[in-house]
Amino acid sequence: MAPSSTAAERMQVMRTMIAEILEIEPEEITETSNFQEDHGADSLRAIEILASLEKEFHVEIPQQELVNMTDLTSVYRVFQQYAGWSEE
Amino acid sequence: MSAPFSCDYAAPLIALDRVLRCDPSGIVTQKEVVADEPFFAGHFPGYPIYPGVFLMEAVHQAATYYGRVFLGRVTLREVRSARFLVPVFPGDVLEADCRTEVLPAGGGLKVEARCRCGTRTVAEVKLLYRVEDAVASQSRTD
Amino acid sequence: MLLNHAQIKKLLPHRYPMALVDAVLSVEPGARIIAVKNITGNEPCFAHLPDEADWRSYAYPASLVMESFGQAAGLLYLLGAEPPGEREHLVMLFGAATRCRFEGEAFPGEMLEHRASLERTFTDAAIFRGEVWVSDRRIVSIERMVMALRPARALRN
Repeated sequence: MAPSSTAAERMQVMRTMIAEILEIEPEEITETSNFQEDHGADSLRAIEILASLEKEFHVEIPQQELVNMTDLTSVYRVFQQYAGWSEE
Repeated sequence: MSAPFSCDYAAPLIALDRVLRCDPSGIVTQKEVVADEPFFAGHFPGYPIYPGVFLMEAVHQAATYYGRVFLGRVTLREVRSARFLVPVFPGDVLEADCRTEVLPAGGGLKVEARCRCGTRTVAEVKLLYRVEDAVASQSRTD
Repeated sequence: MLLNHAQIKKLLPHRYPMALVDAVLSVEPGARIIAVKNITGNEPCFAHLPDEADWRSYAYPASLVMESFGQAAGLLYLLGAEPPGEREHLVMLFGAATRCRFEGEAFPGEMLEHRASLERTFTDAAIFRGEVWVSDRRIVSIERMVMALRPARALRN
C-alpha cells in the first residue's frame, strides 16, 4: 500500500482480507463485530489474519498482540501503533 | 438409509462405514474410529491421533459417492478450505454432513461439509470438483 | 540428498505407514525446503484395488499428497534457524489449509517433489505455502497451510 493511503483505505483493505480469511462477505464485518463471537473465528484464523496483514502492510506485530486484535477497529489500532501511521 | 461402502479407487483407508442420507441436496456419512486401524501404528507410536487429512478424505469419499449417484465421475479440483478444529481419537464416531451444490455452466460440484463427533464440530471442509461426465450432469435437474 | 530417511525419522514422529517423506533435497533454514516422496504400487493405499481396476484408480490420494506435503513443511519448521530445544516435545498437527489447487495427479513410478516455504512462525503454529511437482508438472499449488503445534503430553491418553 502507498504511504499516502488514508486510514479509511487501509481499513477497507483489512476488512477485505479479513473477510477472505474468515470466508464471509466483507460487508459482514463492521468496525466492532467480534471475529470470534460474531464470525466464528478460531485461534488459527486469528494468526492467519495477523500473518496476511503483516505481509500486506510490511509490518511485524509481536504475537502477544493477538489478544488485542478482536475486531477491525482494534486490529487497525495495533497496526497503526507498530507501523507508525498517523492519526487521520 | 444405510448402505455399506466400498472403494474402487486408491484410498488411505475406508473413511466411511455407512451412508446415512444421500439426496440431491447432500450426503451424510458415518465412521467409527477404531484403534486397530493400520495407520495408527505410525500416527503416532504410543499416542494414536486420527490424521486431519483423513477427515478431508471422508468428505472426499462422500463426495465421490454422491457424484456417482447423481452426476457421474467427479475429480477433485480444489481444497477451497479445510480446518481441523479438534483432535480425533480411537473410539470417536465421526459424522460428515456434506452440503452439495452443482454449480451452473459446467462450474462443477461444490461440497461444504461439517465433520462432527457427537455434538462437537471437529472439522470444516470445502471441496470443489470437476464433473467429468458432462452429458450425465446436464440431464439431471436438482 | 541433504537428509536421508533415517535422519528424517529422528526429526518426525511419523512411522510406517504414515512416514510420507523419503528424503530432503535442500533446505534454507527458516525459509524453504525441497523434499520428496516416491510413489510405489506397493503402498497400502493401493492394496484393496481389484485386479481389473482402471489405471486411473492408481492416482495417489489427494489427502496423502497433502499429508506428505504437511510433513515436508514440518521438517522445514524443525530445521529452522532457531535451536530445536523445546520443539522435541511438540507435535505438529494439520491445522488448516486454504486454496489447494489440484492440477494433476501422481502415479506409481513417479515422485512427489514438495516445495514448501515458511511464511510465519508463532509459538504454537506455523504458516506455509508451496507447491507439489511431479517431474516438470506442477500437480498442486497450496496458497496457505497452517500447522498447529501441540504439546505431546496433552495428546497422549
